[in-house]
Amino acid sequence: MKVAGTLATKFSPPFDLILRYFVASIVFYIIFYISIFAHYRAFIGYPISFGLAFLTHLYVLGFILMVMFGAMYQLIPVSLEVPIFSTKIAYWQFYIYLSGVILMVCGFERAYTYAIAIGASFLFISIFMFIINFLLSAKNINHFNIISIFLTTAVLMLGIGVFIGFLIGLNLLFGFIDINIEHMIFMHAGFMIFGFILFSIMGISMVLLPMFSLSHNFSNIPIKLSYTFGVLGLLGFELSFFILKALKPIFFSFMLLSILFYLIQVFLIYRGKPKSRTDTPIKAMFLSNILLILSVLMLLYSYTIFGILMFMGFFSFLIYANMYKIVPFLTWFHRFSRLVGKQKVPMLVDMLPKKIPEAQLILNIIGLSIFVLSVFLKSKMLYFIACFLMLIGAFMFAYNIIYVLRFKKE
Amino acid sequence: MEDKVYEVLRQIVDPEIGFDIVSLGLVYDVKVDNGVANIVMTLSTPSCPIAGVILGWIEQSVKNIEGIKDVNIELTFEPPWNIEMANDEVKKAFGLL
Repeated sequence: MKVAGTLATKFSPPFDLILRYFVASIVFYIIFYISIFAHYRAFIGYPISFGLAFLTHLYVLGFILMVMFGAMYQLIPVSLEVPIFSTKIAYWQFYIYLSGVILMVCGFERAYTYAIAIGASFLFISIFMFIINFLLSAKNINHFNIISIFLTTAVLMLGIGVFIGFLIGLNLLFGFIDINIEHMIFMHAGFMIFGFILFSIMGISMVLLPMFSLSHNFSNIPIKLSYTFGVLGLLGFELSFFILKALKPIFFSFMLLSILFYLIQVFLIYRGKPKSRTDTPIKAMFLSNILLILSVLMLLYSYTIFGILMFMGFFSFLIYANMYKIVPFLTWFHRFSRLVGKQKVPMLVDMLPKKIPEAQLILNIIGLSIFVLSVFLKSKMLYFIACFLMLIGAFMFAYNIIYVLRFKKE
Repeated sequence: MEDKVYEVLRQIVDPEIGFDIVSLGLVYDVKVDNGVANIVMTLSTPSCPIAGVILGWIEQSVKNIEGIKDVNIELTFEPPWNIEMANDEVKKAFGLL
């Protein structure tokens, strides 16, 4: 057979590589929802504390970034049309990263600065392995488009963000630089959350949203504006901690404009999709953006509620939705694709439980709403009810993923 | 002979969308010349994660037709696919009709 034309996906990474990242992320996700019961005070006190740092790093490093690294290794060949430079590096990165996460979150939990510093070193090494692996893969890109530009920028921002985090970790132990810790934490969070996580989401959304929703013929001018304002805003905002302090609100407005243009882009994609093209994950993908809007609005009121809605809301719902799409595909590809034409194979939609994913999303949104209310009202009782609901949601999420991974044709 | 190729291609279903590639309008042209099937087709997106698998299925299925010795596939994204290219059955399923 001869094939003329581009073919994006002859470079699929090994199934078990992606699976390691995804399974570890779900374990950390459940640990988070068990640990959260004991940390009520972390949410009602001053936002910079070991308690909140423990929960934030457990959630962001253990769940969000773990999923993202797995998803990136799966999506680099799909979205950039290049093979991954080295899967061996990706395997090593996983183990070093896993060790770093465990050391760091245990360090924050026990307020043990040695463990935080060693964990930070492990994380620094493992994330730089990812960055090098990504950049060496990206150097083979023939044609840079908005997706590859977003992802490459996100990875560079990750490098800066993790370097600042590494400095903070070492400084906790050795105190070798005289720094304003609050500024450093803001810079670290800015590069990691806005620079890496949000930029990656924006780039990957431009591949996945149209792919899953079958939306076509939409303009991509808003996402280009989003990129321009995002880069200018983030770099200017970070620099304004040292120079041009008076311009900080302007750069911050640029970051908000970047999010606004991203939301306009999502709306255009949503508008261009066929009416009936809506399953549970697609609904969750689009609905997660409402949580993004709410979280940004909450910046005016409380950083803590902003963080809750951003991490446990927007990022999490986007992850649920994408996991409900990506994991069935990976399992199907691994288990059934070679049987096509020889016997009847399931459709991807058949591989998810029928009702439980939707029930999980509903439970999580109710839990999240009560959680925000509990922080707002400082109500311990509501806090525990919310945690309980979200813990059940976490187990349902894990059940759904295990169901897909164990799926066998009847 | 072209009809036989189309018939075989109708058995190839996109597992994400749930419809076959002919009904979806992904096959732009089929010609058979001296036992060689020349297929011009597209994908629902250039980033389609099962592109390689779909092409493999096509080769396998078309080569099973008596009289077909080889298969050439020209993958093109010009014009880019959109749901309007699908047949009425698909459009109806997606609420477009």
